[in-house]
Amino acid sequence: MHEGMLLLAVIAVVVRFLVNVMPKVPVVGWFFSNESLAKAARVSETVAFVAALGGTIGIVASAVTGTILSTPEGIAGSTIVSNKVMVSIFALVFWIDFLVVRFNVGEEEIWSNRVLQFFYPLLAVIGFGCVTVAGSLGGTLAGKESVIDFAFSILSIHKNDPWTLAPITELSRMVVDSPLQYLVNIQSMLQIVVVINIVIVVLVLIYISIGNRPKSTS
Amino acid sequence: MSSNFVGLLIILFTLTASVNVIMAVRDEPVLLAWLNQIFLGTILIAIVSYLVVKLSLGKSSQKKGAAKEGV
Repeated sequence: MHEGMLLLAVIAVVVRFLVNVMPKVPVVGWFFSNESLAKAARVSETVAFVAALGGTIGIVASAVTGTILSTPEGIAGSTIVSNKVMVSIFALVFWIDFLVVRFNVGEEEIWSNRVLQFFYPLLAVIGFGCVTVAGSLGGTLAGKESVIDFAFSILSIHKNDPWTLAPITELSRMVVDSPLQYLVNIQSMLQIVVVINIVIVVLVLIYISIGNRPKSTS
Repeated sequence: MSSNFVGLLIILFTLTASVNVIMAVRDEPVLLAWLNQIFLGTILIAIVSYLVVKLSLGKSSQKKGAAKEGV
């Protein structure tokens, strides 16, 4: 269900992007009037927003049902399931990001800004890409072939291997492979990570408390 | 930085720290790496998105300010 809604959202936001860009192309004026373009912009904006909201709620709902149906051992034991969960979480993050940008920045500012008019549809496209990959992994889990399997074979991506995000993996490897590992065991290193996190949280809290201090009226 | 965004970062870092503690106790490095990847990826997406929006809006408000001054 949510994949259909998100597809609709992507199509609508791409249409809105084209409507935003098309008036700058001289040939477009021969085929479309300004009124029809304005109407298309209005409709596609509303459709994109409502469909993205519905699709995002759908992703959360499917995550809840998936969690109820599976066990933690089932998720951790299968690499395909782990990959699917990871990609689904990233899809959810991108779509929440999409909605947050729309809520905070507003329609007019997004489409009048030179950078945001590209960034906003890009969030939707990447989010939908993640949803599609998650759906493909779901199809493999169900024992069926996926339409985008050819893309995996072209890119030499194996669904059974644990997927890693290269920069983050390299960062973790730099920490784990550092000379520190000969001085401290892995448990101690994890404790160091926790301590660093706590320090960051404390620093951020101090920053907020300073930033929210009322200004003196004198 | 807006306080909402800082709040989001606090939640994510706290979750990462909690997961690290739990997994360290359970001694499961593979699961720990997987969960850390998800959390760090989410933090990365949030920061990049925040910076793009903030910088692009900053530029446009500067332009608007300059245009007003011109008028």
